[in-house]
Amino acid sequence: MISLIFVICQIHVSGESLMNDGSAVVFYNIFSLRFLSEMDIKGVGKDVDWAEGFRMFFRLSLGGACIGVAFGVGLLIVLYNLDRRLSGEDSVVQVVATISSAYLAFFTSEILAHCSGIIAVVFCGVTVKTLGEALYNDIHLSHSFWEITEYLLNTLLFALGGAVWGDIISGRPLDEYSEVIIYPFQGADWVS
Amino acid sequence: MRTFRLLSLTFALVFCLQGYLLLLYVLITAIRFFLVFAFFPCTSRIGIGQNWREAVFFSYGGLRGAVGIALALSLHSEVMHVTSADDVSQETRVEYREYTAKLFGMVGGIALLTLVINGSTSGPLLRKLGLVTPTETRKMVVQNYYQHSELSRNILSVSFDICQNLNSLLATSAVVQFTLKEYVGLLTEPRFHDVDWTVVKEHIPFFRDISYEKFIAAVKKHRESTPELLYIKPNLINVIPYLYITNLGETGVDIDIGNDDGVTSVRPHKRRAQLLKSRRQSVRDIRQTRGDRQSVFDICSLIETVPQKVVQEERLVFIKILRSSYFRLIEHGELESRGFIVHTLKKSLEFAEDAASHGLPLSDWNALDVASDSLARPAEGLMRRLLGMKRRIRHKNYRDTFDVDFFVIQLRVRQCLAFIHAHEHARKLFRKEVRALLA
Repeated sequence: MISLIFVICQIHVSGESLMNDGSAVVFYNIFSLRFLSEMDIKGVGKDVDWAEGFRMFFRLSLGGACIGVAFGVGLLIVLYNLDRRLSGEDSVVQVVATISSAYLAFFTSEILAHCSGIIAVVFCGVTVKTLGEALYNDIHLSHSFWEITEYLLNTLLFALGGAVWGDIISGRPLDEYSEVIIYPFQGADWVS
Repeated sequence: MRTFRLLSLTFALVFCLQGYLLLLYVLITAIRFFLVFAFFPCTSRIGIGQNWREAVFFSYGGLRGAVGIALALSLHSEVMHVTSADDVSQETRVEYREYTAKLFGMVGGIALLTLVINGSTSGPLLRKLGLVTPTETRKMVVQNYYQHSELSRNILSVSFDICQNLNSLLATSAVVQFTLKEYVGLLTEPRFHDVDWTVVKEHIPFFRDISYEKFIAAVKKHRESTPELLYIKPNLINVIPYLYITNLGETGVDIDIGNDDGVTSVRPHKRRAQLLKSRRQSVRDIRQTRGDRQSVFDICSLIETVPQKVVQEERLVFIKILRSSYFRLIEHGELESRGFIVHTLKKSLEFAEDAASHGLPLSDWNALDVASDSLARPAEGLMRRLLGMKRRIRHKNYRDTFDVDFFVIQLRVRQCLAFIHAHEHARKLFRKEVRALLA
C-alpha cells in the first residue's frame, strides 16, 4: 500500500495523464480482487462478475471524484484563510495543507469509503489547480516542494522496484518468505 | 562452483524471460502506435492539432514506469503476504507467487527496456523528426524584429525628427530606442564611466549597428525626459569615438561630449613608482581599518537625549530596508549573488541588527569591516602560504600571476560600491516612508 502512496504523490504532482493513471488504478482494483479470489483463501479477494464489476467501477470512480472535490473545496478554504503574504510561516502552512489534504483525501476515499483514493487525490488536485492558484502566497515554494518530493519518491520507487525485480530475475525459490525485500510493503496490514 | 551454478541459472532464467520480454516490448510499442494513429484523425483536428511527426514521437516516447511498477509491486507484496499464512497449501503458495513474480518481472522488464531503449533514443529521434528546431513562425518573428530595427536605422540616418514619429509606430525599434536611452541614463553615473562601448556592443546584438546620429538622438531624448534639476550629463567619452558618423555634413547637433574634468580625475597622470606606492599605502589602510569589534558594540556612545524606543525601531526598519536593497542589487545583476562580498554584506547587517536591537546606534560600516576581517584575514593568510609553497616548489622560473594586493583592493572597492548604492537606495526609501508617516 505504501507503493500506492507513491502513486498518489506522483499523480498529484505531475498532472499529466491523470485520468489515464487513475483509470488504470481503478481497473487494477477490480481485477486484482478477482485474481485474489482465485486463490481460495478465506477473506481474500472477491469473485467479481460483470454486473458487480460495473457497479464497482462506478462506485470507485464517481465516489472518489466526489470525495476529491469535497477535499479540494476544503483545501481552498484553508488556503484562502492563510493570507498573510509577508510572513514566511503562512506559506509553509499552505504547503503543509496541500500535503495533508492529499493524504487525507486518499485515506478517506480508499479506506473509509472504499472508493478509489487516487481518483480522489486527482480531483482534489484539479479543483485546487483551477480555483486556487492565486491563493498561494509563495507558489514557487509549493512547486519546488512537490518537485523535490516527486523526484525523491520516484527514485525510491524505482530503487525498490529494481531490488524486487532483481530478486525475481535471480530465480530464488518463491516459497521462502523473502523478509528483507517485502518488509517495506508490510503496510498492507492496515488496509484490510 | 556454487556461485558458478547460481550464475548460470540466473543467466538461463534471464534469457528465458527475455524472449517473452522482447516480444512483449515489441507488441506494446506496436499497440501504442496503432492506438495513436487510430485516433489521429481526431487528435489532428482538436485543440492545437497534432501533426504526424508529433504522433510518431507521441507513440514512441510513451515511457512505462512508475504507475505500472507501483501496482505490480503492490500486487506482488499482497500475494506474498496473503500466502504466507500457515493454512495455505504449498502448491497454491508457489503457483500464485509465481504468477505475480512473472507479472512483476514483465512489468519491471518493460520499464527497464523503455527506459534504456526509448529513453536513450528519443533525443536523436526528436532531432531527426525536426521537432526541436525552431519553427518558421519563430524564425519570422526574429527576422521581423531585426528588419524593423534595420529600417528605423535607415530612416534615422536621413532625419531623426521623422523617425521619432515613426519610432512610436514601430514597437520593435522603440525597444532599441528605449534600451539606448537607458544606457545613456546609466552613463550619467560615475561608476559606469569606464564602461567600454565596444564591449557592450559585442554583448547586445542590436547595439551593433547604432550610428552616431541615433546615439545623439537617445542622448537628447534622455535630456528631455529628465527633470531640469536632476539632469546630469552622461559621460560619452568612451562611446563617441567608436561610433561611425554616416554623413559628416549633417551632424549639426551641438552636444558636448561629456564632463572632461571628470575624465581627467579618473585617470590621473602619475608615474609608475608613485602609483605603486599609493597602491601599497591603500592596501595597508584597508588591512588596518579592518575589524574592531568594539566599534560595532560600543556602549559608551549611547546618547540619552533622543527617545530611545522610537529610534531603535527606526534603526531596525532601516536595516530591513537595507537588506531588501542588497537583494535588489543582486536581482539587478549588479552584485554577484554568491561569494565573499555578499557574504560579508549580509553578515554585517546581522551584526548591525543585533547592535540596533540592543539600543546601539547604527554602525554597519564598522560591522562590514568586522565581518570582512573575520573572513578575509584567514583567507589571505592561507593564500599567502599556498603561494609561498608554490614558489618553493618551482622556484626557478616561477612568475607570480596572482596578485594578492590587487585582490584585496578589488574586493574592497566592490564592497564599497555595493554598500554605497544600497545605502543610497535605502535612504531614499526610508525618507519616503518617514515622510508618509509624518504626513
